[in-house]
Amino acid sequence: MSIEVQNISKSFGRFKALRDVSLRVDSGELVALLGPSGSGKTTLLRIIAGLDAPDPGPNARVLLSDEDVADRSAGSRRVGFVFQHYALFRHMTVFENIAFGMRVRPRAERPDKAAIREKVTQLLRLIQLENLGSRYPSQLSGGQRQRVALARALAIEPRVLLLDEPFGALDARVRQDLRKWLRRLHEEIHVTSVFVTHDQEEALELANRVVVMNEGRIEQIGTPDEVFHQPTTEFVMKFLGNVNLFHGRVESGKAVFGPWRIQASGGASKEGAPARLFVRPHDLDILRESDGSPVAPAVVRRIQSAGPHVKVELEMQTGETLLVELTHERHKILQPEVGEQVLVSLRNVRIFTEDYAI
Amino acid sequence: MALRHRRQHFLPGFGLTLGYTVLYLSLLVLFPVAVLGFKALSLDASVYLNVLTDPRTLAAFKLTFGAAFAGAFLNLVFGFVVAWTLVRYPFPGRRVVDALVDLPFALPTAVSGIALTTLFARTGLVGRILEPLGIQIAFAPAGVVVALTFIGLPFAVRTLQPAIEDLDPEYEEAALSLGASRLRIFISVIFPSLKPAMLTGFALSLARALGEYGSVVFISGNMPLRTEIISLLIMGKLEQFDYAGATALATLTLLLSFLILLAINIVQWRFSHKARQAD
Repeated sequence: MSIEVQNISKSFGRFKALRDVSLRVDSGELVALLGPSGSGKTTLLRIIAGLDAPDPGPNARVLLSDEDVADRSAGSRRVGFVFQHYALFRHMTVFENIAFGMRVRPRAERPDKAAIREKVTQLLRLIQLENLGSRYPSQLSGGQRQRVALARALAIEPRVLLLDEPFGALDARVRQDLRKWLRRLHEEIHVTSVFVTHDQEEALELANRVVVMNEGRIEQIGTPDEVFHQPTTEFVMKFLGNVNLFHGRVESGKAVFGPWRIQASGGASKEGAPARLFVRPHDLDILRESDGSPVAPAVVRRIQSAGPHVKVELEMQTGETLLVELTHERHKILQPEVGEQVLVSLRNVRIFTEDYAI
Repeated sequence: MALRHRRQHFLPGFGLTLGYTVLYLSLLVLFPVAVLGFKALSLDASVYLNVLTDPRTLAAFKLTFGAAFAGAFLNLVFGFVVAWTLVRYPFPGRRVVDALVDLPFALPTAVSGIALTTLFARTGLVGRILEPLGIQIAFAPAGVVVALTFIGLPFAVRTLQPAIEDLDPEYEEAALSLGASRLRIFISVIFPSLKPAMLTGFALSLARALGEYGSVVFISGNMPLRTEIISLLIMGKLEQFDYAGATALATLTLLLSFLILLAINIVQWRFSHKARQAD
């Protein structure tokens, strides 16, 4: 079932948490709301759930399955909400927690005891905690608690599932496992899901589509590939992974950054307009001798080879620091040393000038 | 052997602080109670029998404990509302209201008694309205309840406040999104989390009410068999130099109060034990 928000704004006092946000999530999608803290992503999630009300506006609407839910309370929206700190009821067992949503229904809609028991057992199996139904939340690990919170949300057979920083409070290892598990779960049950995260890796790995947010606005919506490889704004470029920045100018239709002159395809920019060049660390290469392509000289300052890539810090002649990521193979061939003079060349770059992106 | 089995304490001064605690409690609590106990043991059983069969005493017992329970219960209900409002809703003047809660602590009880009497007497601001309706507060058992409620309120509010502050609204939101009604959220989510604090507030308010003297003697009118509380009866016996009778009465009151508070504490231990399991 789809989710759609249109022209949603929300202020808390003078602080504008959301500024005219519109977004559509199609049925069965797994969408990430990605952004730094204060970007409005949690507020948007809470508005969809009905836990917060958007500022009134003539065109502000929240639709679930194309039905306007503005007047419906959180309880009647049938939205599964998973909180960052689980919010499991401490005085109830795991079983009672999961059963809660079914037990509180009005008598006419309430399943009988046997049906509730069966549903809970089935959910316990789904979250792989079959034998822990009689435990209290405090007797579970963080990862187990989060799964119970998820089962509790799924027990009401929600139309959509909303997760607020679902892995935020967990340590790195558990986070990895739970991520994979959630991905598989989504493939199994296909409930339309939106999760909030500030971890770009999590968003890129888990989501079908990523919504990058900043200062209450949506910066870009796209597949993980699109937002990573074709960021449309500087913010998206900077937020998704490490990036090196060069300042330059537009000269006769080309953006010029030291030795590099890059054809500006749009060509519309004014002569002398400032331009900024962004390049990811893995799109830089280190050379000993020029291969004909434009290169810039630099000095190796630091090498860190523990990890999936070798990180090399270079100092340019201008005094700026560059971060280069080499594969271990490339590093073995090159074997750069600290203090050595080398040449840097560029592969993929993105240039942003005042009025367009290349 | 004994040394080897001694637990290591990382905070120094365990012996000193324990010694101080025992001495302090002995001087302040145990000693006066022990004196009463010795005196009580030296009494003849007939003194107790006399006291227990005196209808005046029985009426006073009924009134004191009944009114104290009623007051503590009222404080539990309305203290909860006050504490909830103070914690959850920011409103202008909240600090002033918050400070007002402590007033019954600070006011000399005689002053509160006189003020309440003035208010509820036939000519008073409230009494003028209630008496024609047939509701008599001042110089009636109801007046005792009013006085005991008044002096016990801060105990209920001040014990509930931190417990409510600790209660993350996230739990209510979770219950709300699962479709629970407001009433259901209160019964199943809020109340169980606050139960220990509610019980403590009730017990403190009750204990305070059982020992109250100053405010009650003004508003109750002290009519034998109707509005006489135990403390007043004890005072009366002392004034008539009936030390044995006063001692017997005091011992019985102490025993009963102790048993009630002990029972509440046992329930409390059960709760906290369960809470620890659930934490």
